Amino acid sequence: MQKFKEIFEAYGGDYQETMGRFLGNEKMYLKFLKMLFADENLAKMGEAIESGDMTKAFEAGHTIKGVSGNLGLKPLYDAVCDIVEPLRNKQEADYAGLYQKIREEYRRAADLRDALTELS
Amino acid sequence: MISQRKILVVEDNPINREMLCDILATEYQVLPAENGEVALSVLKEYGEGISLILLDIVMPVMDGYTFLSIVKADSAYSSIPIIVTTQGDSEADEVEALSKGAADFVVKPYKPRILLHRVANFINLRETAAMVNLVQYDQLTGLYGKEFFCQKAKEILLQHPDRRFDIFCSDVENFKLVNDIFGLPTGNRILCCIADFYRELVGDQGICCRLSADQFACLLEHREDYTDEMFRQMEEKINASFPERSLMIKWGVYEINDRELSVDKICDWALLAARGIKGQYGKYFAVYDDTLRNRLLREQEITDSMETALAEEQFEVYLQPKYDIKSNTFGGAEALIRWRHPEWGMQSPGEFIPLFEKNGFITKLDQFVWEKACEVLHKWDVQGIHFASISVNVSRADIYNADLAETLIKLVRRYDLSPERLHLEITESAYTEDPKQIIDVVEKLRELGFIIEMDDFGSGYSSLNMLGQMPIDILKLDMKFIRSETAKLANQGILRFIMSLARWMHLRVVAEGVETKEQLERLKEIGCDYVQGYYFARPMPWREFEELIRNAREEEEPGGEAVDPSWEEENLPCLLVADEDEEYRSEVVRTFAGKYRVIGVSDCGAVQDCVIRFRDRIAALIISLTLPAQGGENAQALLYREKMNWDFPVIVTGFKEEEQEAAAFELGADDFAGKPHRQSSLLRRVLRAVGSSQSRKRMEILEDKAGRDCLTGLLNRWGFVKALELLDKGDEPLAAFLFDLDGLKKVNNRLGRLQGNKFIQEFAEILKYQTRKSDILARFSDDDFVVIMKHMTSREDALKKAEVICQALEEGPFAKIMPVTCTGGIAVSGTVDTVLEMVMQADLALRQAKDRGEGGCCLWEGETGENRAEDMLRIQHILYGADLEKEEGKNAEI
Repeated sequence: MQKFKEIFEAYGGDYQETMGRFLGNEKMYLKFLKMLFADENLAKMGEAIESGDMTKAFEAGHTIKGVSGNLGLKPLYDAVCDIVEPLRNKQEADYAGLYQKIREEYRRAADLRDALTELS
Repeated sequence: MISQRKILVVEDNPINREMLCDILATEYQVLPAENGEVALSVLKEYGEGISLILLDIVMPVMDGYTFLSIVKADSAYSSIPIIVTTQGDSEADEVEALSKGAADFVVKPYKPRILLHRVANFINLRETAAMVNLVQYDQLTGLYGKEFFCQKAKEILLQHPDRRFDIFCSDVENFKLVNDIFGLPTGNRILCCIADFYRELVGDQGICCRLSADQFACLLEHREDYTDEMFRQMEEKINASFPERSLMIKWGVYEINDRELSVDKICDWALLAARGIKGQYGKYFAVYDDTLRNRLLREQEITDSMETALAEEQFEVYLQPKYDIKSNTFGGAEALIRWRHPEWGMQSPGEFIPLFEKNGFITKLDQFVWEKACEVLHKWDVQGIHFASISVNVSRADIYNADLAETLIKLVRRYDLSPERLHLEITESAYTEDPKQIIDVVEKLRELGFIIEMDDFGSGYSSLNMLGQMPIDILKLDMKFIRSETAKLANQGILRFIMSLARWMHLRVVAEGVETKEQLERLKEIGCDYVQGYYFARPMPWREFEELIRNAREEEEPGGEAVDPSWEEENLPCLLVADEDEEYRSEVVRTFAGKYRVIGVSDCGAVQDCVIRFRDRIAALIISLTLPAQGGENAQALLYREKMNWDFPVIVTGFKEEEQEAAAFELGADDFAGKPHRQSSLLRRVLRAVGSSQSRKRMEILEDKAGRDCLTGLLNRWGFVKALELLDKGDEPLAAFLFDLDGLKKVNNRLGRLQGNKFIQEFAEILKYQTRKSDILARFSDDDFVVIMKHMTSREDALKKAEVICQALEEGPFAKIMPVTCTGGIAVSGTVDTVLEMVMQADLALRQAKDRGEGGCCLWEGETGENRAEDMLRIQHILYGADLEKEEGKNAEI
């Protein structure tokens, strides 16, 4: 079990805080982590940014922010925060770059999922 | 328990949703919904069964704000707490959620332990509030509950020390019957109507509540001008929203003078005032005042001292002889209780017996009397004085004591007596209350050998069939129920009827309360067995009684007069003169000679003794304000305490000073005679006071609650008999009408009893409208009505009147619901003496009319005096009781 904690912390998450949210149940955590990749909000955000629909992009980003926060995926969460704030205020920003950053973090999160799945 | 509570989770994102669900599932049943619309449908299904809602704000289909607005606007759900989940990055979101009615918010990412605590806290808060509401508001009517009302009223009184307030309470008469007959939903509907009425009445000027069951209370600003009319209108208003039947509501008003008193207590007192006028027709409200307060205090005083009184032998058993009319010998004695209080003097049984019956002490007192009676009989047996029996009272409360038979049989055995030496008197009204139980108990006592006497026969409502089943040996008839100076012949009819009834049932009859030679003669004539009353002997201490027996035995005059002839001279009504001046007393004796039997007494204690001894024979009391006290009580104190209990007028004498006169009237004096005065002026005063007191009594008799049929407000059988007694020659010629409502049974069966009652009430209204106020209207039984009209000179007019009445019914509003008719029988040219015969003739005429078909009227054509015995019995049967089948199917007289 020590392994789970190590992998999670190596990824960049706060094990204590996150697992507290899942009542210390790693299996339950993994179940929710897997659900993240079935979620369509990442794709939605990409489409919205491409078409310049800031509102739609904000809504999708907002959801991802909540979910990644809940899952304790700190790096992903930070990346989402970077895009949500300018979206909320409808500011000029390098949205394509910021989106790219999120996609990268998604991949890292996917790696985390794979490592943890392998473990169990 | 906690796991049973339901939480609705509204969140579009499946991950967040499931996370929340998983966190909450440890302690709650979670109902997930992915958007506002789904959530609303879940809410619809579970309603207030949902303890809490967790709501996400950003959602497709219906967002969180919309959902929040809808839920908070709907009173069915608005009390469910809603916690909004936010990202924690936008203060504006949080503020908006809270302003739209959210209870709180939680920030993502969720902290499960904090979330669970918050959820638990809100659920707890809401449930506590709901409990407070439960106590605060009456569930059925939505008015305040009693506790909350009392609290609120207290606050208002504290906040407004300079304003005056009244509390008034109301009580619906016989509400339990409404529930029993019409069912709980109807009962509840009525209560809600009353609550609405109260709400409207107080508006924002006061507060109101439902105290309990059918009792309501409200606090309003004080007013001086309460009138019966005001409350009658209120009753009318309430009844207007409930046309099926008419409720009688009694109101009690308490003016708040003492702000130290608890509101709870004030409500009690207001209700007491209301209860005091229960059953009184035409009386709608009563104010709690000093008279009532004094009565209650007095009752409390008696209650406090009764145990001591028994222990210290303040109670004495008096005996009053019964005479066997035929043999002129003792036929037994009745044991009566007397209370000689060391400070208050002789106490009136009329005051303390009803109280003891109420508080249950009567059973102890009865046992004391039983034991004394046995002791005396045993003593006489030992001394060789043979004495047949003593009658003792058995109260209603005794009958419910399971050990009654055993107690009594042990008692007679202990004193070596056979059970038939003890006669047990049970009042008629006890039988009618719970006939089955009482008949069983009494049957058992009778089998054991006790002789059963039915006391106060004629005061209750025994039907003939019931009488047949009752285990009794002796009927005891109180002459006061049939005593009258104005309608002797009518009364003779009743007396004769009771005698024939007794013969038919093989019962012996004792007449008690015999006071005049005339009464005795009449009783002899009709074959009464025993007599008892002041005409022969007053109740006396048992030692005196023993002397009486010894003397009578010594005289040993077979067939001789058992009655002291000098008693006959004492047949006049009594005038009690209580004055310290002997000279004055003698003057009064001279002044009133031949008119009254004047009894002079010289101290307050003697006044009390005389009042008890001469009871209702006292026509008036002349009392001096300076009369010497006995046992610490002066004339003022005596009047203050007793005046209410006396039903004769009191003329107070004293110095010709304004203060004295004012004091006298304050104490309730009917008149004040300043000394010195001339005897002729005293005579005038007494005659005037007696005259006005008598006419008042007559009115009271007519208004007596027992004399009215509650459904219609007409007289009932008993009230009718009483009313006949008040007829005099000046009312002649009389006409008697008997009406029978055709097909009441059909109405009851087809449309229900409610409509049946409406039918009856409508007919009663027609009678009221078609007759004069001075005429006598009565409802005899379910569908029989009788009317005695005064000054009816023409036969044609009488017949016409009857036809008009029948026609009014046929064309009345009820006939539009269902065709109805009534049939009438009329007899005319009656005199006061033949009024009962007239009723009989009207009854025969009614039968003739019925033979011709329903809906017509028929006038009696026969000769006076040709009635047969069976007809007499029939009409007296109507007067004294309906038969059992009718009793059972009777339209309730509520």
